Amino acid sequence: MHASDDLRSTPAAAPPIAAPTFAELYRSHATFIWRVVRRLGVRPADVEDVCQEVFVVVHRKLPAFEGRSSVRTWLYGIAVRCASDHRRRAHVQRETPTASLADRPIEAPQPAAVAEREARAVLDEILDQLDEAKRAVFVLYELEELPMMEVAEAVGCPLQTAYSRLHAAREAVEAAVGRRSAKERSS
Amino acid sequence: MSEHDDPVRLATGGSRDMRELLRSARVDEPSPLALERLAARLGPTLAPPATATSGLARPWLVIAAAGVIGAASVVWWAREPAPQRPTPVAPRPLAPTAVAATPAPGARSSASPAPVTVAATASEPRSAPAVRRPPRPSAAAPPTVVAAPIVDPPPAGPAIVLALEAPAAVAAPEPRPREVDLLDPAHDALRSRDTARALDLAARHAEIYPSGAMAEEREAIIIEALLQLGHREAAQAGFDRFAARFPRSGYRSRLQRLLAAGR
Repeated sequence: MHASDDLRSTPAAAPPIAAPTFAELYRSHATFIWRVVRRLGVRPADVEDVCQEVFVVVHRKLPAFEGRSSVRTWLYGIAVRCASDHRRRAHVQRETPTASLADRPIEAPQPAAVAEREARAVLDEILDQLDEAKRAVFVLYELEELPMMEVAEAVGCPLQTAYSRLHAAREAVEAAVGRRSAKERSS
Repeated sequence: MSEHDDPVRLATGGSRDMRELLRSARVDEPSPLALERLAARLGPTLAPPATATSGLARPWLVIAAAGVIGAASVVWWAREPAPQRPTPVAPRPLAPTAVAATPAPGARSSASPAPVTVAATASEPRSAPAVRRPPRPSAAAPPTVVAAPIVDPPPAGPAIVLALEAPAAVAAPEPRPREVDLLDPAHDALRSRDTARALDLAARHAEIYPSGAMAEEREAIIIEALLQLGHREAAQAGFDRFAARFPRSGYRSRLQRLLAAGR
């Protein structure tokens, strides 16, 4: 997962090229793209499809990438748009989810893993209550830890707008977490 | 404003419950198997780069596309329907842009551009769009009608009419190529100034994937091809629609530069 490091250490036979290759981008960012797509509200059964779509877009746009933003920001921007498009499409073409095969051998779930899964489900439920714009800002800043400048670039809005979206998203998420905690304490 | 001015993240400054939730999301990663599957789906695009010999921006794509496209394109060209035999296709509303250009058969660039018509905008419903392919680069065959009836043929000479949002493809006996398998060679053809082939492949893409994920790429290729052929006005009109349809496209600045250069 350190393709960019590999790139920097390649022999200097060829003229310096700033842009990484598609394969390098895939190796170094597939995991992050997958995670972002997931947290942006794409159903687990569709995540692979959307990731594929993201990388198809990356593949075709890479030659035109001019390095005005960082590769990471550029990729996140594409992921945000693909996830958004997918969610809109999913509204009109709901499919009946079918059970998918497990990726890994099924083992007895460990308590920690169960707790993590439950926590993710809770977070997703809370994020589902945010509108798309606020959700994207929240995910990129709070989960992926992009600087706000890059968040604004990735979602394509002015910095101040990104701040106000973050502020609103935080309020909503903190309120939901607070309600949930209070409910758990009282039960 | 710098990164240092960014607010403290909730993973650090939030409540315990909040920190737990955020942490659970951060450790959520795809399994290696899922990543392998995804890589397999992306297929040849992940092939290692080939030696750069021609100054192409993506020389490895030549190799990646050669096998798939070579076979698909040759078979497709060999099976084109008889000339001037329109295939009736139920009309459907079309979104933006049909452009027409007239390159000389097999021309790499046209010294004297023939008249160009730019048909229909997104707001204009069209009932009988036409998609015609340019003659094969190596043969002086007459233009072939595919995909839809021609309702308003150009007055003279072989013509290319590319519907950017064309009707659904006619039934093709061979497996349909993937979007990337059509547009990467189109891109490469454009770079080598084989404009007829680039437009041909873009037209094929428009037939099969009228609203495909790579429609943006296709339209950019068409605009650039029109510029190569000297049809600046058609290219400009195409670009205006392109910019309206893809306002945040990464191709915009490049196309603007090319248009400004009057190429």
